[in-house]
Amino acid sequence: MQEFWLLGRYHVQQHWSDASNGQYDEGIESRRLRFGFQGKFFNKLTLHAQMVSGTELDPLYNGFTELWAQWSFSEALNLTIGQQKHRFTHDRNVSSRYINYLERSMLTNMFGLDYTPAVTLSGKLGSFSYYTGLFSNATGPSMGNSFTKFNSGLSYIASATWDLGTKLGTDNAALNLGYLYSDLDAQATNLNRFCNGLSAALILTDGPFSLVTEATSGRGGARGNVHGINIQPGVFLTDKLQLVGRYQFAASDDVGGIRAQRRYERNVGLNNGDRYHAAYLGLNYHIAKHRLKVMTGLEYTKLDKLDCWTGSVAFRFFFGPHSKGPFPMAQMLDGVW
Amino acid sequence: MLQNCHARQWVWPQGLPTTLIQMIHSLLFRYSSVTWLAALFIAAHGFAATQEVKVDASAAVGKPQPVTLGDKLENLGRLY
Repeated sequence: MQEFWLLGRYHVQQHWSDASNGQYDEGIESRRLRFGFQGKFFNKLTLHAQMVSGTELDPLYNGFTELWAQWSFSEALNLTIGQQKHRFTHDRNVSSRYINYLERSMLTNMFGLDYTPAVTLSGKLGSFSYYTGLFSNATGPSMGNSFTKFNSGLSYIASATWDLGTKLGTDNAALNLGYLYSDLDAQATNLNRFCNGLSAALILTDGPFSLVTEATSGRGGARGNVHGINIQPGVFLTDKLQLVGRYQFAASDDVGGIRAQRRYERNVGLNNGDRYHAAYLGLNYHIAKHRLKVMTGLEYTKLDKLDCWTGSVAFRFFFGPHSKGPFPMAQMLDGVW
Repeated sequence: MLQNCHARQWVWPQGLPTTLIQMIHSLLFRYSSVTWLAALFIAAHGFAATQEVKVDASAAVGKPQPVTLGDKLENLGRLY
């Protein structure tokens, strides 16, 4: 045995949402509670198990987010079997332990990406890394059912990342491209909105500054195509205090093809539309880097003619091994001051 | 023409002032759970401050190195 970790995270957040239709909603939510372990054996085998709680910790045990075994043939070829993450889009690939915003972007969330049983291959060849595999489109609290009943359709995901280093004149640059195909089965619990997905993200950091720009396109499905862009600038004012912004725009070909964020836009009556704008401004205070932090944010959202403001305060804590990837995965930048 | 001029006037988004007022009001009076969020933040930061102690420098390193809560948390959960 080379490594053995206990791991876990607890995320809690308060929100206030106020819409132009007069609806108002506020509440505190235990957003994520997860516990598990990860061990590395024989220098080749990694075992990972992570249980998850239900909404508002009810039930306390609600199955597993991740339950997989990985055999590393080499740095360039790793085979992973079990329930694992849908790494489509950079936005989704960034672990919730490291995201700089209260929630991921609206279009990312529309895909129904999460964790389901899969067989994947991943690896790194110089400055190029890849991830690809076949996923079941359904999961649930019973891992026995999830791992044996594959009658809810399948998805295929491919993701490639180029570490461009300093080639663009910044301290770091990376380009991520992603593709998704889904069967869209009626019984699916995940990946049940679009037949095909395409994404391209450019991730830049320079000194205390960061800029993530991602274009995403979801095609097919009963409610048609949706295309969007997600621009995320940020700056570390000090080594612990980070100012972040985000602008999202999405447009659908069909009327009502866009579904607003479950957290917390739908709580105040933003439901379906075909033009979506959202602007977020937040301050994150990293008490102990990403492992212990307080996040605050204010977001203005406009879906067709209806708009809302959402204010938020979140507290996030995790322990266990890091995940690696382009900014902001397990990364902090030196502050301006 | 007059109507067009009026139509072009900037209208402050309706929700913002209301939300800000309600946020401040909730923070101060209504939502006690925020109080413990704030207390948790203050306690965590206070604890972090107490952990930022200097350790003796070895002759080879030459400079004292701070040990922060972040340093300690890096290995929290690692049993082996």
